[in-house]
Amino acid sequence: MSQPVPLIEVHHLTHVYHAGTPQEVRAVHDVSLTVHRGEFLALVGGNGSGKSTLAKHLNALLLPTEGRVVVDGLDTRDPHALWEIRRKVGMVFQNPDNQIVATVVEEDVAFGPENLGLPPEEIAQRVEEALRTVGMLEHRRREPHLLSGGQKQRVAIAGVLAMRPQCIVLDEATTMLDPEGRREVLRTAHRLREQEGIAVVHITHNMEEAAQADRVVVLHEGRVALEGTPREVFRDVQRLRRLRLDLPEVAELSGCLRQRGIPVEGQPLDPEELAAQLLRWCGVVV
Amino acid sequence: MSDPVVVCEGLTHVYLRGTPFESVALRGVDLVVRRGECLGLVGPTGSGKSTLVQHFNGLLRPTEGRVWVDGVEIRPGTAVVREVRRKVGLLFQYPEHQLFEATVFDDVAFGPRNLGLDPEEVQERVRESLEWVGLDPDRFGPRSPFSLSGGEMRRVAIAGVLAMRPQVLVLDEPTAGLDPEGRREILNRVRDLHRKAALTVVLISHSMDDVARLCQRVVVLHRGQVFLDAPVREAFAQSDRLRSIGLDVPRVTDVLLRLRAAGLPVRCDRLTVEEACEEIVRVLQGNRRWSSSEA
Repeated sequence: MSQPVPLIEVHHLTHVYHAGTPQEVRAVHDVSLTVHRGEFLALVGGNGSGKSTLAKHLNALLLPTEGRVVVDGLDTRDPHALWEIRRKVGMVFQNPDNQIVATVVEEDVAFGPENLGLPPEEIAQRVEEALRTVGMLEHRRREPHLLSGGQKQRVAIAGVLAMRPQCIVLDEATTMLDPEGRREVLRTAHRLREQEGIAVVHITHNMEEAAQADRVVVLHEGRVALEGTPREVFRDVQRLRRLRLDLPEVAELSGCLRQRGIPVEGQPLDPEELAAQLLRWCGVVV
Repeated sequence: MSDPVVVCEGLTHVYLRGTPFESVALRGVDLVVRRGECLGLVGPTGSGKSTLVQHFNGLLRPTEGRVWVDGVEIRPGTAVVREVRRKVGLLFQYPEHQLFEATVFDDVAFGPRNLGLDPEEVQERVRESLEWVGLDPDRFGPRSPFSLSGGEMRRVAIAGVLAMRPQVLVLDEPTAGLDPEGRREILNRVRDLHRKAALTVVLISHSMDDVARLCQRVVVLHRGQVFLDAPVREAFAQSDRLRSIGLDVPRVTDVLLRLRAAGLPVRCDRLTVEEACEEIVRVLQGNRRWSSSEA
C-alpha cells in the first residue's frame, strides 16, 4: 500500500452535551485521529463509549466543544464549508426504516443530487451508477418499504454515493440487520473502498466485522483506548474485556490453543486461516 | 418428557387473504413447546418467526390449523381468554421503545395495575420483577426510564412482562443492538429466569452463539415451514443445511468443520470456545503422535 494520505483529521476533540447543566456529559474527551483516503477504518467501543458522538463530528452533524475537525482541508466549524463537507462525507445510520424519504427507490437516491441543482441527465446517470454499485439497480422502481433491512441500507448507501463522496460513515448501520443483511452491507462497503477508492468508517460493536477492517480504533469512555491493525488490537484478550468488548471467536480460540501448547502464530482472525495453520502443524497437506 | 405448554398443529397463517397483497407467512407448522424448556427459534428474516410467536398468546389467530396454549384452544373468530394472554409474555424487538411512564416503577407496574391488583400486590410484583432482571428496585424504581442505558432500559421492559407472572416468556431478539457486555448481562438474566424461576423460554435470535449458549433445542424456520427441529448440538453439526438458507454457524464450529473436511476425526458438535479447544487439542495431539511414530 502506498503512503496513506490524510482525509479527515480530528485534533484534540472534546464534546460535552448539555454543557453547564446538571445533565452535563463529556462524551468525547481529547481524541485525536486521522481517517486516510481510501482506508477501511472500524471504530469500535461499548455502549456509551462515545463512538457515535465522534462519528457525527466527521461531517459536521455535531461541532466540537473543544478541538477541531478538518475534512479535506475544510474546518467543520466554518459555516460556509458545511455543505461541501456533508457532500464529501456521507452518513448511513442504524435504523433502516428512518432514512428513506421517497416512495420509490430511485427517487430516494435522487434526493441529494437534486438538491445540488444538477441537470436532470446528470442526476439520472448518478442514480443509475449508485444503484448499480450497491447491487440494487433491478429494484430501482420498487417501493422502499417492501425491501429487506439490508436492501434498505444499500439504498441509503446509494443515496450517499450519488453525492460522489470521499468518505462514507456507517454509524452502526449493520446493528439492526440479520446476518444476511449484515453481509450484504459489508460486502457493499468493501466494494466501495476497492473500486471507488472511498474511505469507509464503520462503527460497530461486532468484532467479526471489525476484524475485516484495515485499521481498528477502540474507544472507551470517550477516549482512544487502542489503535492498530485488527491483528494488533485483538492480541490482548484481557484488555478488550475490560473495555466491554469481545474478541472475535476465532482469536479467542487461537489464544486458548496457544495456552494448551499448540503453537498458533500471528493472530488468525477467520476460521479458514486458523484451520489451515492447524493442519500444517500436524502435517496434513491441504 | 415434560408436558406441552404450547401446541401448534398444521398452523397456517395468511396475511391479507383475498387481496393482491396476500402473503403466506406460515404453512402447516407443527410445533410443541414443552414446559420448562428453553427453545431457540431461528430463521432468516421473513421466515415467519414473529408471526409464529404471535399465535402463542392470541395476538394472531390461525388461518388454518390449530393452536393450544396450556390446554386452551385459540380459535379464529372468538375472543381470546384474557388468561391465555397472561400466560405467555411476549417481548418484541427493541422493547425499550415501548417504555412510556415517568418512572421505572410505574412502567413495570402498568400491567399488574391493569389486572386490578391491590397496591401491595402491585408493589411486590414490581420489586420481584426488577430484582429478577438485576435492577435494585430502590435505586432504579424512582428513576426515569429514559435516563438509563440501552441495556438497562431493555431489562426494565423485560421486568414489565415478568410482572404479569407469565408461564412462558417469548423474547424476540433480546440482545439486538447491545454491546457485548450488555448482551452477556441479558443472556445471564434469561438463563437465571429459565433455571431458577423455571420459566419456559422461547428465544428468537439471529445469533447462533446466543442460541448455542442458552437453548437445549432449536427450531429453524424457513419460508414459513419448519426446516429443522433438533437438539442444539445436532442442529449445528448440520452446518451445510443451515448455511444453505443463509444462516450462520458459530465461528468455532466452522473451524472444526474445516478440520474434519481435511480428514481429521474431529467432532463438530462442540459449540463453545473451550469445548472446541479441548476437541482440537485431543485430535491434534493424537494425530501428531500417530504421524511421528509412522515416520
